[in-house]
Amino acid sequence: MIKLDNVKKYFRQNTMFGTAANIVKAVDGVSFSVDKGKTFGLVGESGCGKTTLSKLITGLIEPDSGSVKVSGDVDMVFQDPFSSLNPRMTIEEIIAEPLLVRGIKRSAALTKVAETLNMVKLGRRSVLKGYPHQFSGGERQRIAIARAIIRRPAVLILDEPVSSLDVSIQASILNLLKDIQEELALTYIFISHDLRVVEFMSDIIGVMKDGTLIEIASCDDIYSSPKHEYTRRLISAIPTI
Amino acid sequence: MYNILDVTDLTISIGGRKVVDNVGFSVPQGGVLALVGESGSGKTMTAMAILKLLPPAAKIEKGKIIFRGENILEKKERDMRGIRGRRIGMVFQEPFTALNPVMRASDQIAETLIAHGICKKQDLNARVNDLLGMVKLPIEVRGKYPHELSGGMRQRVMLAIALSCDPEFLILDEPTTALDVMLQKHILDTIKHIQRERRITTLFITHDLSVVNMLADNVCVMRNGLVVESGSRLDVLKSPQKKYTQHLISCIPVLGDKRRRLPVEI
Repeated sequence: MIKLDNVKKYFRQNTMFGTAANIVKAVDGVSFSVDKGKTFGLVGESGCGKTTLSKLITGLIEPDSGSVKVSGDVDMVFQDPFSSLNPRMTIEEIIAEPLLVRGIKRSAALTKVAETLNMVKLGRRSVLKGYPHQFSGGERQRIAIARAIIRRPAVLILDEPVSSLDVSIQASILNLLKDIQEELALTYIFISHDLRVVEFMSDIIGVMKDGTLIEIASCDDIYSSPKHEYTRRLISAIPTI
Repeated sequence: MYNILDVTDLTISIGGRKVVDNVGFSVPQGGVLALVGESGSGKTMTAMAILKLLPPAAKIEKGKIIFRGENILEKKERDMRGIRGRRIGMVFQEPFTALNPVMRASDQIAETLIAHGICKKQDLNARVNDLLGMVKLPIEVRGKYPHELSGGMRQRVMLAIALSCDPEFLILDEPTTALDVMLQKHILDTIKHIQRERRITTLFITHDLSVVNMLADNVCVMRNGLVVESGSRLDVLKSPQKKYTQHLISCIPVLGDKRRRLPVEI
């Protein structure tokens, strides 16, 4: 479904006066593949290149070298449901927009909106005419998910989708994402700095550091026998009760 | 042991709705109390009441906040200015919005020292350097603006400001929520080290029970303005008595557990 082969993306970091450029190797030779209906979890610290990698998969940016192959449409859900939804649009408009811009008739789009809101458990009618500020963080993330799946994409990239939520809301969103994945046979790229959340969601986990995947393993292996020293550090940083 | 802070029957309402309802807790000298709750639990309102920084719409219905034997709620704004930042240090969640974007880190740290008049001009530089060392920031950070610093470094600058006047009491409101797990551990380790060494009495506010283990002695779990359960860290985390506390613990994914779904409703 998704296949990355030795993908590289470097950025030039200029100083204020455009001199003495620094090269930032945001993604530096990453290869992995994900089968249909599976979840690839990507874990790493801030600045390790996770988000650049997700943009490469979406096609928002082009790789400098290497190849990114994705069969089917890709959509995304971002971390912050406060800034990712247009505050001046109603929920109905927000969710219908990806269909309308592709020339789908309004009536057909609205039917799909109602159907999709049901899938994210926000089926009550009052939701449609509401504005983002009227909803809680968890509800807003459900709205963002509805918008992301309205076109019925093949792949969904989830970039820290629960990082700004309370733990119990986080739990309900994670469960919902699993339900939707099963219902729509979606392939997920699930990105987070929190290995607990990544492990819960994923079939395979890639640990990213300084632009490279230093370890790719199944959930069981990464926890019981982490190969890389960095993975062990990541595990030991996790707060436990 | 002598309590630095005693909150009793604190009730705060906004527009007739109680957002903090008969809340009471104590923090003994040198101790760390974690106030744990989800959005809307009233934990931040409680902290704001301690600083007398409640929004204008919030009304204190009743209760006492005794800090070092004096009721904060009876203090005048003038007196509070000598308490906030000086006797009570604060660290808030978002270090990007809490810092002034057009001031260098060193000036922001010095500002608090100057405002409270506790450091002579010729000693300012040395004091700022001391504080940077205390929060484990390199000396080069002095001349940097907030946008030039990473999230973790910004939060360390916040911590340096909070510690600048040698406060007796520290309020940490979700100090690591915006950070990744690695940075979270580093910052909490630094805080713990300083807290232990200087015996700073601390109120630690978080929504995540799993981070409580890294810092707190006692825990107070809040929900919808009410205290649901309180006790020692071990009692609350290892053998929680209340359903809500049990739920807050069980809905956090644990490494190596084989659950397919997380519990959501209680």
